[in-house]
Amino acid sequence: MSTLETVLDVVSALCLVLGAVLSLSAGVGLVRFPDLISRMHAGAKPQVLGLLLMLLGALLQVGWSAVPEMLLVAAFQVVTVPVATHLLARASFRSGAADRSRLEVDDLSSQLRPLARPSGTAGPQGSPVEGSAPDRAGDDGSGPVDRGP
Amino acid sequence: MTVLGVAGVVSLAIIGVGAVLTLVRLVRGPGSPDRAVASDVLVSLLMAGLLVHMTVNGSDTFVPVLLVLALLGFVSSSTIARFLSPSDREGE
Amino acid sequence: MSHELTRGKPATVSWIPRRHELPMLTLMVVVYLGLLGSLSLEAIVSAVVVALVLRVVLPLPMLPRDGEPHPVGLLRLGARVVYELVVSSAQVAWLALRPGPPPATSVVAIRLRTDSDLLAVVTSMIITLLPGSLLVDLDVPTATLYVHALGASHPEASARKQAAAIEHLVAEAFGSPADRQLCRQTA
Repeated sequence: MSTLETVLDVVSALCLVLGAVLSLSAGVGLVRFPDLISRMHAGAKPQVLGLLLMLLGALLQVGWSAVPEMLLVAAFQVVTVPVATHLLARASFRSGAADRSRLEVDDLSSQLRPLARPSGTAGPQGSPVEGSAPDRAGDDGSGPVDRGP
Repeated sequence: MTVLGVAGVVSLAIIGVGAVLTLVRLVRGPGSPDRAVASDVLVSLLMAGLLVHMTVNGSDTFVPVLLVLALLGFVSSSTIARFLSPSDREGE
Repeated sequence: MSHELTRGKPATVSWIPRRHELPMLTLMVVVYLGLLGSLSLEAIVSAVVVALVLRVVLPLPMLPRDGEPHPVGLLRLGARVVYELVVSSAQVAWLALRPGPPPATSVVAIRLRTDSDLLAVVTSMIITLLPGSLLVDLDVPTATLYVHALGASHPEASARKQAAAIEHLVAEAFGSPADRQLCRQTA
């Protein structure tokens, strides 16, 4: 094997192991952190870097043919992970699934409508809408959504 | 044993441990959001495992799979987020 | 507000694309070609056809265009994001793996200096991407971010500092001259 191949192999190997360790930290954080939103932090973020590293490692081995697709995978990951994490965090904060008592500084609870008691009725209620202007950040707007078959 | 071979086995083992821990959260996590996060992480771990395979074998067979997972892997948790209601709080 | 935003479908959608749609169309063609993995003539033609058809069949609302993207600003933003991603991922991974009590958490309200929706969204998504901070909510009229900070010793100060830095970088990359001026004044 030529020297260049050896170097590439070592770099890819390093990328793989580092990426795997970051993925492991996602799993460990999921189990260890006591709070829902902390688990979101641990589960989503280091994972992104881990995947980027492993993409680099794979790219070094597979060669130029896969560069466009891998770049697209990286771009899609970078764009979708924050959005999905934010949507879940927002919905769980507003619906009370997140534990607010653990927060040291809580600027948000005062702005939201107080949590409604679960009334036991079936069916999703969506998230409570803030008193101020309708927001654009998420799509769970206040209007009725066609939930038909 | 090549460098890549050893690294591949080690990485897969580490990812496997992470996956088992995620499964723990998937089963235990009180409430739907925890399980949504766990399923998202599982999809990412799946991508990681595929990447290990690609690196060790130098084959680009699974690139379309990676693309689809990257594009659609988050849809499940976003859908759960859309339908969260106050009755999903922890301890249900 | 410094943007023109139409919500929902545009009023008229013609088959001929307008000039301001060209960047989006180019992006669609590039992504399509990347997915196909080939640059042959058939691929390019089919990419253009698909892009043109899609913009008629599934029209998207207009993105607010405050200012032209600034190449130097984009590069600086990209470099800073990559650097922060590496450092913060290591920190959060260490927090997850090290033995000891779990880190403290807080939700901090941060007011952005600029007024633009696009900047607010891009800034907040970058903040969410970087480990340790996560956007919980966004109040659009007052341009207030509610950021959940993980494991920071002084959560308010560090979250505000990070948000201000990223807002500045994003404004330099995407923002209008007015936004950039606002960020530079208080930098």
